[in-house]
Amino acid sequence: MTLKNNNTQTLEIKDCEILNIATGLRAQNLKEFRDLLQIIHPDCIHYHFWAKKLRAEFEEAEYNNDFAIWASINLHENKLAERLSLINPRMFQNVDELRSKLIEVVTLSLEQDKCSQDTKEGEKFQFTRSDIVLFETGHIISNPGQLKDIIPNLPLGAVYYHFIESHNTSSNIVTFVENAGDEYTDLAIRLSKLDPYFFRLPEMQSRASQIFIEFFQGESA
Amino acid sequence: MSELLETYAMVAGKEAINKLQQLSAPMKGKKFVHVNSTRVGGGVAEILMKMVPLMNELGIETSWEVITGKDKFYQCTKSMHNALQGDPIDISDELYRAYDETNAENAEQLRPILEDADYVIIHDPQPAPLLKLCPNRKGIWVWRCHIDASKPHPSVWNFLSQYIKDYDASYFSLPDFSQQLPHTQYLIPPSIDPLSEKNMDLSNEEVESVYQEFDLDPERPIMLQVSRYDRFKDPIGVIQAYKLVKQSIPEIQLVLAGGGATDDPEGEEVLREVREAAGNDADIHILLLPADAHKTINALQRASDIILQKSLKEGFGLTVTEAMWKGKPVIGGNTGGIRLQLVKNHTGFLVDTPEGAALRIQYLLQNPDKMEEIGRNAKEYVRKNFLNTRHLREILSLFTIIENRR
Repeated sequence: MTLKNNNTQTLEIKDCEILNIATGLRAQNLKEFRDLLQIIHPDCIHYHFWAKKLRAEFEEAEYNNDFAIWASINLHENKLAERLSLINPRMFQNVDELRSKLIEVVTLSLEQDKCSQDTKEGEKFQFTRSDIVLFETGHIISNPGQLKDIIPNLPLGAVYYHFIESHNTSSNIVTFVENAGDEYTDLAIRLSKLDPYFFRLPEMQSRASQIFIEFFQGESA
Repeated sequence: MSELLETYAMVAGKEAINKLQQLSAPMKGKKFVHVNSTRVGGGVAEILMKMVPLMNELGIETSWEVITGKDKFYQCTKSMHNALQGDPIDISDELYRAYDETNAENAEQLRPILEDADYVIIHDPQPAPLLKLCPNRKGIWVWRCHIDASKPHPSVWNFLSQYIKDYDASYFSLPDFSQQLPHTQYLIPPSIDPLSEKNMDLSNEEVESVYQEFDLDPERPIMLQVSRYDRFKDPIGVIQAYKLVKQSIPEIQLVLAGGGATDDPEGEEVLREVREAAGNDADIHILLLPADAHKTINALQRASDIILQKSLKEGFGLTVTEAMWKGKPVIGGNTGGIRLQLVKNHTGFLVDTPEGAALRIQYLLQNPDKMEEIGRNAKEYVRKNFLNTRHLREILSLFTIIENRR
């Protein structure tokens, strides 16, 4: 048995808020959209895939990211919306690969589907990015067992931060569990299969919570 | 926690107040100054009236300064406001000169306070030149644009941007309003104060008092628009919508409740046009309310069945937020910040014409359950997104981010 880290590692649970930043870059049609995709700040790409998770919505959007939603609602290009929505950012090594995929999909639509329509006034795609601000919650975790009781009561900003924004860093809950020792390997595998791209934050929270409950129930049995 | 903060926590949640306390802790004792051009009337003054005490309560030494000018200054800034909203107005050199001179005069008085401040927010175009007029400033200066500047008249924007470009950052209500500027442009929607006279809970007696005061029949439906008499608010379009509804629901009553802002010289002319359009219809009530009639407006909103804000251009539309907070269904113009607030069929309806407004009014009056559902959703939507606790959190976050990067 190999321990992946020492036992002194802790995870400080933080809540977060994002502060939106206008880039001043806007696309009125698909061609402008593709041109701007090539030059926008990498944070814009991250923002338009993930920030919608923090917005209050009354119904689950049909598509998973801002690009696809714009293509569907404002350009009325459902084929393109489906292709854009299928792009899962977690499947790409870095933002440049993700950017290339977006450009490839949009170029395909421009060439095959001849999408040239302009959006109406006020419906341009507004490229946006954000800054993040972190807040203390008072929770400092030293072992995954403590998360079982904490996760169900986390504010959604903390769910966003610890499952999405902190991806691949030591603040990520999945990373924390992975590094907590071999006895938590199964828990880490089950959590890592939970892809936040497909869930709204309350659902993500509830599913993660269920995984913790099942794991620790099984362990105590 | 102080009594005031406890009261906010009861409305906005303890978490919201905890975040404000965390953000304000490093700013305790520091000097924060807001500057605008009117202390009464209009959304900016209303926001500051409540935000400044809340900031002081959090330990930030906050003051609110107001610049003043003469007729030509206000003519210039009103034209500037309209031009930023897209009117193709060219402002004369004489008016621009009045603008520059007025700011220079005000700077003489305000310079010691502004140069000593740690944080400054300059609201809207009126006091924008103050930054250049305070060469020994030490703090972080941010320009706040409350206006729908999505399509500004180029000559006016070019004039104004010479003053704005040197700020450390600016912030706008919506991404459409942002411009090409050499600094970061944040997006922060404005807000309402749930504890203010305009938004606090009222007793039934207080609400019902407006029926008698304004000769309204409580047994018949009431539609209401609260706004300044300004063409961009489309009061004439509201009267047209009312007249269309009247054909099928003759018992409908319309209240247009407005007042003047000290920095708006066009109000009287628009009021005359509105009176003319209303003619002799006894069910159209045109009210000219004093700037401090907050409780009356609160009661009117609560006494009404449907609220309209049929603006053609709108920075944000705080009257929409106020009505939503009172659990009322709102029909708003498909423009500016109203789009951010009214989620079709969930928190209200967006319309482009008087006909569209008339259709939605009739639909709602036929569906009381839907009115109730929309009202319920609307209130929760405001609680989550448009209260001043969220607004202040974002402002403090902005300054924290800039300060940490310095």
